[in-house]
Amino acid sequence: MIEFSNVTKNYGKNTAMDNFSIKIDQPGMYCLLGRNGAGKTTLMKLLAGNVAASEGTITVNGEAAGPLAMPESVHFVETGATQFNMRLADLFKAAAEVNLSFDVPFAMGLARRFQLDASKRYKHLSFGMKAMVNTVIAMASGRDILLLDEPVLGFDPVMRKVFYELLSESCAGSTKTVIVSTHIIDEIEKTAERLIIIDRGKKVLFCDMAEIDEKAYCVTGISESVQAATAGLNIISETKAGGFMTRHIYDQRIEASEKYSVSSLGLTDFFVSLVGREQNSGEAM
Amino acid sequence: MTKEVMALHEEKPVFMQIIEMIEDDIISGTYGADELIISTPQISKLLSVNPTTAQRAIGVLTDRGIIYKKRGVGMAVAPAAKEKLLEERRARFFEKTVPGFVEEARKIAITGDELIKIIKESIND
Repeated sequence: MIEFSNVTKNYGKNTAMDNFSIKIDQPGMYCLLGRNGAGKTTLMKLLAGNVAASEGTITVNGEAAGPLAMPESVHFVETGATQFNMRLADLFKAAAEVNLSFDVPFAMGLARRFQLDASKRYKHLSFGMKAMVNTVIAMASGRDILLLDEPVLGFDPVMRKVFYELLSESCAGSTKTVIVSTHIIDEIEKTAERLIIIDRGKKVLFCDMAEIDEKAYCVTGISESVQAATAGLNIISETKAGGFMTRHIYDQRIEASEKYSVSSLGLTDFFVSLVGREQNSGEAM
Repeated sequence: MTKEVMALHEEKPVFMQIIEMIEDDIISGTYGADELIISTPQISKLLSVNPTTAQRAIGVLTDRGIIYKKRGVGMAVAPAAKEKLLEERRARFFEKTVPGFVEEARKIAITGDELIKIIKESIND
């Protein structure tokens, strides 16, 4: 179990995490979304004990986590992490020597599935392949909590698909908690079980992925009718053109009528509405 | 589920569309009483939707007593499911579909007699 209680992290004058609290008590795959600089990497670094919180407490399985007590159950894969320049087979063996719970046969199996050549040296691999190897090492680490920061950055769509298939396969039926940050929403929208959205160091949303399907929708039609139909609902953004209006909603669904249509938003549009609103209004002014 | 009905649209939440697909298969007899239905991972793979969304659909159908859990094998169609669904769908047909249809006909100036004639003809087709 992971718990952040009122965590603030300052880098000089910059506040990367701002009184942030979250409680993750179910295993599964978590999708961590946020704009650049929203605090995704900081959240992972704090959880891995790479940096210390300025204020507040972080616990992993009930024990305080920080640079002085780096949680053993956490494996953090940074963006662009590198490994020793060994043949993959040797790299996995070396990993097993420093980490007794590392599962070499499992890593070799994953490497085959990813079509990684175990006789190749790490530096001879392509950019995407290196990222795959980093993730394979994380998955075979035997750790309960895996933090993957932008694992699919620079992947082509086919690799992304294979990557998420494998990630969900190795998560299914396991007790692992996997937190994946990304800007590429397409595949993870269909894979992750829960969603964390952060913005400017604050938690904006923490919910089941199924709730997006159910509660995130848009209503378009004649302004007065849309206003009347959505009054009292949680409106996350609004666009007007002529006598017409589109409102993005995160709330109970309403039924379409003759005067307005109702359609699902999808995670990408929902995310943009949710965290992009101040930017939008800024542009309008 | 045939290819045609498998296309998802955006008007309704995906989990509701999955519910309707399974209901349609029960009504049409594709899944008989006590037969196993498609599994959650299969739904998520086939329609390329999030597994939690598929799970949500299965959860709702279970709560409504349309399907039940067969220990160790999967979800199966409840014996009275087909009757129950037909009743629900007929009720919806009389309460919503028919009034909407008549209202639309009135709006475009189709008389009652014409309407009856049109219905008879389309039934005979």
